[in-house]
Amino acid sequence: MNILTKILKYSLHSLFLIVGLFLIFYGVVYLKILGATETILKEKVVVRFSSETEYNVDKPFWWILEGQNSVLIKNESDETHRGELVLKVKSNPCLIPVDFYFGEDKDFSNRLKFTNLNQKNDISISFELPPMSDKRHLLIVNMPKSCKLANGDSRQLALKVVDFKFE
Amino acid sequence: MTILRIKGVLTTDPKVDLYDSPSYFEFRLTGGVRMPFITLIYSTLKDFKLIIIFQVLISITSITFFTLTFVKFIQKVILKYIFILIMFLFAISTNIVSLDYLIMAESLNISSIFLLTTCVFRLLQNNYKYIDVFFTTLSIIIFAGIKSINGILSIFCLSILLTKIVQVKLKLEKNWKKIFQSVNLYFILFSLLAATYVTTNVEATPILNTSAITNSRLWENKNWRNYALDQGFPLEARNVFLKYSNNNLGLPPDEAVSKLPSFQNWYYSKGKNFLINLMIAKPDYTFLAPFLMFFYTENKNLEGTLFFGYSQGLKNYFGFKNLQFLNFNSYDIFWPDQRSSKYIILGIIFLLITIPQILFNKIHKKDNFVFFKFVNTILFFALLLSYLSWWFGSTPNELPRHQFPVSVILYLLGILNFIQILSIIFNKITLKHKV
Repeated sequence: MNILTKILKYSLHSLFLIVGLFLIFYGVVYLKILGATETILKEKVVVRFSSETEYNVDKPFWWILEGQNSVLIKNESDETHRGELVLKVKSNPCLIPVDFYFGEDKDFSNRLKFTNLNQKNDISISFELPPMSDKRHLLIVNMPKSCKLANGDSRQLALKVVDFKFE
Repeated sequence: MTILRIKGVLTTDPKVDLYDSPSYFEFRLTGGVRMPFITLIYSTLKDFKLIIIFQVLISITSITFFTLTFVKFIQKVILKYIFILIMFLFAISTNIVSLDYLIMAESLNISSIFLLTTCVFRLLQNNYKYIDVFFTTLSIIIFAGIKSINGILSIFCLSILLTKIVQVKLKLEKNWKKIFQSVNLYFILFSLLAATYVTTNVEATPILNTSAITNSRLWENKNWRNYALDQGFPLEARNVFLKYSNNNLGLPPDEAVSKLPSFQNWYYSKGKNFLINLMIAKPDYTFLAPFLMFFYTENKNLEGTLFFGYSQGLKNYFGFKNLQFLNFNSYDIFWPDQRSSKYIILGIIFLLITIPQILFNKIHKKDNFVFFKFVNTILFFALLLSYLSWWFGSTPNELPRHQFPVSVILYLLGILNFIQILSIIFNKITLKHKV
């Protein structure tokens, strides 16, 4: 084997060695320890409400009805995503104050009571989703009295989600 | 493995890709979108269930052939069992098993890789015996007839093989008549492959690839983007791409662009050689970008690089779930679910491939020499295949699928090198005890 081939061979092997070490370092330190992600949370995590999407002109919104509702947060990437889903909610059309509870399953870690009905309220739901997983959060609303609409809609509309974002 | 995988295909429905699968049933020796070998099989079998049973049988046969060939090469009995166990786990991993159900070229492509690597090893081990030359060439022809990119690679493979045969036979026999006969036989096989390749028309994909690569990759870098615009790439094509990407308008964005009259005018007048001209004009794009995309775009991570392609596997790409056979869950230690772990495993594979050659290169036993030669040969062609796929076929979304064959090759080399390291360590320990 001539010297040139030897140099070329060792250079390539050294390059492979460096690449191997770099990949391990990148995976362990950058992605695992520092918690960085290659995918963007907003592009890979999706939200589905238990109620259908409705539109005010072309702006979507979702009703939270009296009783049990849910919001499914789904991670469609192969990375763990952590964050907060912030729901912007408004009061019901009758402006009736409601008791609002939310959390995973039936273990409600958060209890909110909405009384300030003139403003939008933010509800923050923290989540940590492993790759390709989802989590259902329950949203439960108690209304002290019913809110009947004149337009014939018989649903007990409790809260209106007008927007959401991830933080 | 046979029981698990056959039971799997008998109880699971085939997975059809509405966009890609139909083209595999159009057998044409000349013209068409797909290579003739795969379309011949699909159009002959016709039935989806028959196809997936055929695919699983070929897969099992090729993996068994690979395993048995290398088991013979391994000397220590315990290492033989370890190797068989690892190969068993590899063969039932979700990424490999799931291919059985796909009505696409992926399963037969991976099987042909098992076949080809085994034949190359036997060829090197038996010092270019005629029978091994014949089977290696045959396996190259099968490999070439499955995917168009394999066809291009096969021309390189066969040219190098032909040169090597003449070189080796000249050294061994010094008999020009015999050499001429073997070369003659080889020439016939080579012509057969050339005929297969030349008669294949892959016209439908280059226009799509040019649109996809320009919009998805070149647009991310100002320099490349300007080059595309200087070459006449119509801005309207970019707008259509964005429009179809942001809204579901019933066509994939690349196809919408390829149907655009202004894009077609540009493509057929001067765009046909655009990707090749770009590679000549921008050598850094050609050689460095496949591994170092993060230097060229705002995306400062490994997404879009070949490392990403090797590490991903096909589970997320096709939305495969872990499969269950006989109350036994398949899983992936080779391509884990978490992306960070995928990079770590790939890093370990790179180290496994390199370390034996750096540490044990001075052990000039014949077997080690043949083994290292095999590793380097396969590695060379794997990287070539990888580059060809990246240059002409891979948009960021398609990287995992196009690089999966290379990924399988790297993982197989990693497994073999792992066994080789253990083997050398065992031998050293035994030697010490003897002393």
